Amino acid sequence: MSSESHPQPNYGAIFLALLFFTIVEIFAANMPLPKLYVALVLIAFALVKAALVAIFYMHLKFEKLKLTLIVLSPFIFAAILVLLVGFDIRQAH
Amino acid sequence: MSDAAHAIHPTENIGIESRKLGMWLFLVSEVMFFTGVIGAYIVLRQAAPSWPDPLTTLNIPLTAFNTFLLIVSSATLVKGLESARNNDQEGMQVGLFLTVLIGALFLSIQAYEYHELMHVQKFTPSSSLFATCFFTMTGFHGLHVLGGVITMLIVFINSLRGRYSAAENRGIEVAGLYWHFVDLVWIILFTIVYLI
Repeated sequence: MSSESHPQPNYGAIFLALLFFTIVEIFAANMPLPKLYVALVLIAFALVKAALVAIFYMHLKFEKLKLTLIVLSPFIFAAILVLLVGFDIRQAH
Repeated sequence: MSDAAHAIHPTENIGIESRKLGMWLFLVSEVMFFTGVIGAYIVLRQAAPSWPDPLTTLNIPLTAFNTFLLIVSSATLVKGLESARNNDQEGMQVGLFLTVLIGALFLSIQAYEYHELMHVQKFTPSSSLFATCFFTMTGFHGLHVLGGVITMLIVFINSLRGRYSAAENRGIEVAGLYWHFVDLVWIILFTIVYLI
């Protein structure tokens, strides 16, 4: 049997949350604040939205822990890549 | 394979259905691909002496609408899968059809955006470093959406042929993982390329 039985998330609420965060992002992008603060807030919103998609739409919440660990593993390398590259740029300046 | 050979090379089973595991491993590699592209963008942007403001260069309302479309398409897809699991054939087919339709609409709007940028604003891939990065990142994503639309179209056709039911819907789920991933990547790209 290929069907999996787990409680269905409230997809409507997830959709509304994604929509809400997108609208807030667009307003936040135009706020007269220092660019760095705006960028940090926008990245935080984007990560929350991406997490909502992965956890609920992609059903990671209901998967086995080992699959979740496999899926999360590249994000460690992604974070290292982006952060170290960022430090390197700051040193170059 | 003989029993002796099987004893030497036992079949390992980690308890995750193989098609789903295969798709997730593919998506893991895709994460690294897009991380490389986004990492390169960050390096180039930070190293450049000046950088255009995307909010004034790019059409934000149009791409915000495109973002809305992808979010809606993810919702229609999960509704389609939910319908399949409830053996609601009509609901499943409607959900899958809407996903294909909205995906195609996303690509049409992206094509219009490219046309406007290149032919009206003269913002071509070779016009600046920002333009090169923009077309590389959004172009690769667009190709992924195209692959997703074709995949979802095949899934939709399969649904019309009665391939999916409450007992067998793995095809929708696995293809859906790819589609949601494409949505997830756009969420990141929209923020990094268009809003920051």
